[in-house]
Order: sequence, then structure tokens, then C-alpha cells
Amino acid sequence: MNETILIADDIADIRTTVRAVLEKEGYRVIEAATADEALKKARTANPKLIVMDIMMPGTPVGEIVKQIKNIPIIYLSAVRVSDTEKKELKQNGIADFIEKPFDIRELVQSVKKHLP
Amino acid sequence: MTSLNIIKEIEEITSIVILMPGVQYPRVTLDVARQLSGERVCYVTLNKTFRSIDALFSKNNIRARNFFFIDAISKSFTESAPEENRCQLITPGSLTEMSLVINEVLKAGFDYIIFDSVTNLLVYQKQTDVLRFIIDLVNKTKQTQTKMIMYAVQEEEALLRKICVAVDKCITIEGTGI
Repeated sequence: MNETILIADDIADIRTTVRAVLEKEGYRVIEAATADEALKKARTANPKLIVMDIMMPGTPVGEIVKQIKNIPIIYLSAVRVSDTEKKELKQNGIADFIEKPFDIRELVQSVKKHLP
Repeated sequence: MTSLNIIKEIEEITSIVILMPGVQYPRVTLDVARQLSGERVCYVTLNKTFRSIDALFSKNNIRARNFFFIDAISKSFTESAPEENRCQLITPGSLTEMSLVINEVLKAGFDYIIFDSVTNLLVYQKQTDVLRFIIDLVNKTKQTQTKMIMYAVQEEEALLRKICVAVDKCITIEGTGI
């Protein structure tokens, strides 16, 4: 495998947990603590997929995501959205939407499914 | 498990913080909304989109016809504005914008403002800025007929202690209810 996955979350524990699990699955993992940092790393490190918290300090995630092209994004979120909104997000290019607290197996399955 | 009687708790005062463990949060927030469903309420949401709250209320038979929502989430990921007569979107994390909108709400004479939740403000702002914002909000509310109800999940104890000093009453919901 060795594909690079970017995990963007302002909570270090979440990044650490997701990193540990994805590295065990054979992926290379890079981290970002803000959406702005995620955009920088998306442009420089060329990840194959991004797992991103929907609520982070700094520029709203939605603004940043518009600037990320051709990389599938899985939203992780403690924010509650309606089923209609989840459908709309997927129609607008978000690969998946996983609510926190999440089952790590669900995340791994989603990563495997949406990696190009 | 006895319910909190929010109308009675806030009857003689203007501002209240409800501190609760995360596990009680869904029950308490629905319970308060149900009790206030006949009132004119402005609901400031920082952790659920307007549409998800609307769906949640419907699912729980809460008819919040006189609720107006200030949604500080949806702009994170959508451009489409929901029903304008029921909801206003504001920029996530912008205390200035939130403050301006809440000022307008206070002028409009709502019976209650529900602020859901103080804890979520900390995603975007430093503790000192959140505290200043809350104190300012509480002081402005005192000058009106509107009553302020704030939710806080029991984290950031130091900040919550300071906020509890700023409001008229602080209620703590224990893990098994009150």
C-alpha cells in the first residue's frame, strides 16, 4: 500500500488514534491541526485521501475544501447534520461523512473504499 | 429521573448555565426545548445544523413554531441557506458576528435565548475571549426582558467556574439526572 493519507483534526488524541490505526493498515499518515494547514499539506505532500474534522479553528473547513481538488475527503465530525445534508455533501464531492464518536473500523472501511 | 423545570428555575432571574455530562446532554437539551416549545425562543446552535435540529425536534414531537435559529455551523460546509424566516447562518467561530446577531435578537424581544453550547465556542476561540464574550452577553441580556439559557458540557472546568460566577444561576446535572 503505502499511500499517503492526511488526517486533519484540531484534537491531537484523534490524530494519534487515527494515525496508529491507519499505519497498522499499511498507510503512510501525515497530520494537520487546522484546515489551513491541511490545505498546505494537501498541496505539498500530495495525499491520496484526506480525513478531515468539519469543525476546526481558522478558516472554515468548507472554504478550504473548495480549494482541494481531486483528493477524496472523508468528513469526521462531532457536529450533527441532517440526513439531507449528508446526501448533499456527498453530491457535492465529499466521499463520506462519519460522526464522532466513531467506530474506528467504520473509518478504516471508508478509507479503503474511497482511496483511488 | 426527575426533569429540570427550566421555566421555574429561571423565573426570577435573567441568566442560567446548565452544566451537564456529555451523556445527559441529548436528554436535557430536548427536555428544555420541549418545555419552551410554546415560547418565543432564539436558539443559537454551535454543534448541530439548523436542519438537523429541526429533524431532531420533529422526531421527538417538539413543535418549536416560535423558535428562531442562529446556526453557526452550516456555513462550514454549505452555501445553501435554509428557511430564512426560521434561521440565520453566521460564520463559524466569529464572536463579533455572533454578538451583532444576538444584539438584534435581544432588541426583537424574544422570551428566551438558548446558547448551545458554551463548550463548542472553545473550538474556535481562546478561553479568555470566550469568557469575555459570555460576560458581555449576560450583561446585555440583563438590560432586556429576554432570559438566557446556556448549555455547557462538563469539560474546561476552570472556564466554567468563571462563567458560573457571571450568570445568575448555575445548575449541574449529575450523571444519573437531577
